[in-house]
Amino acid sequence: MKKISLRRKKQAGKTVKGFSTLSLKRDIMREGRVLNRHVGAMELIADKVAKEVEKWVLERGEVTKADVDRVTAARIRKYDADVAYLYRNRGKIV
Amino acid sequence: MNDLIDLFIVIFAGLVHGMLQLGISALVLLYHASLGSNIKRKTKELTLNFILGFSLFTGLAISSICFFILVIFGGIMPAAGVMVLFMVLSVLAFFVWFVYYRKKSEGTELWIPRSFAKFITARAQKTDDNVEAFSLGMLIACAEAPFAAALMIAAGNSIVNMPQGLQIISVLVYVIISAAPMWIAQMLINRGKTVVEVQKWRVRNKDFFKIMTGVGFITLAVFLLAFKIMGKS
Repeated sequence: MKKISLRRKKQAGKTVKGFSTLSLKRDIMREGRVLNRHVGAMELIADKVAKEVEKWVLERGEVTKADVDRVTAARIRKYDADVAYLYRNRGKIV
Repeated sequence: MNDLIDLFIVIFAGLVHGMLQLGISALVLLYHASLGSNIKRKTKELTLNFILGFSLFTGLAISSICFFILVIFGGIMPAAGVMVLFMVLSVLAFFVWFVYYRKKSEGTELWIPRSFAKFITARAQKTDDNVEAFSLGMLIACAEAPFAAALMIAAGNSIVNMPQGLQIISVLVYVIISAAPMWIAQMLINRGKTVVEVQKWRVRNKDFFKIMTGVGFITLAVFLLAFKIMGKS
């Protein structure tokens, strides 16, 4: 599995770590499972989104996790708005 | 008449407690975390245990408060104590209006410190056992104490003035009402609503809940002032 390592960037005391398409796909698949989406369909969406986000990341020198999350949610939204909503709102429930 | 007033205070305090959002937030979080990695039946069991843990802690807390009121004040809280309670409830109303929800958040992020919110999120994600879910429910009930304690004291003060048979029923009524939003959310999700639908509904109505919870605190405070201080003098 391809792993892109990004330059580490200190931002408000937090270090942005490497980006992995594998973990991105896993996260998207997980959100799909929460909404009882078809596994095959979610795999297709996760593949497409992971490739698009990977391309977007490669075009930039430095990205933050928030940037990656925002772009990923926007890409997922093209295919499934509810999954995108769940993805974007991770950590914003409590 | 006095028993009716006391019962009303218990029911109303339970309602305001039920409008507090930490419990339901944690339940949605648990649903989100569990549905992503477990089958539906397992998720149902976990959420059921979460609500039972929350209810048990609330029941034990309110029973303990009743016991302390009996031991310390001999069953009747002095007017000065009720006055303090009135002021605390009034201040909490302003806290609910201005700091309960994080202002910059587009979701339903609450007042709790971010490190603790992360801890709750991590615990919800790691919860795959009924005992863990039960403990998480208890932890959440405990974490809500800064807002819920005054409500439980107001209810407890009324419960100790009731006849013995009614006391146990009142504790149960308080526990059931305070956990009712979680039961309703669980029922909705089990009947086919998704976590997204529930969360979107919460986000859409969060300002309304904020206003109504604050109004609830103020109303209870005024009610205590009217019937427990002025009504007794």
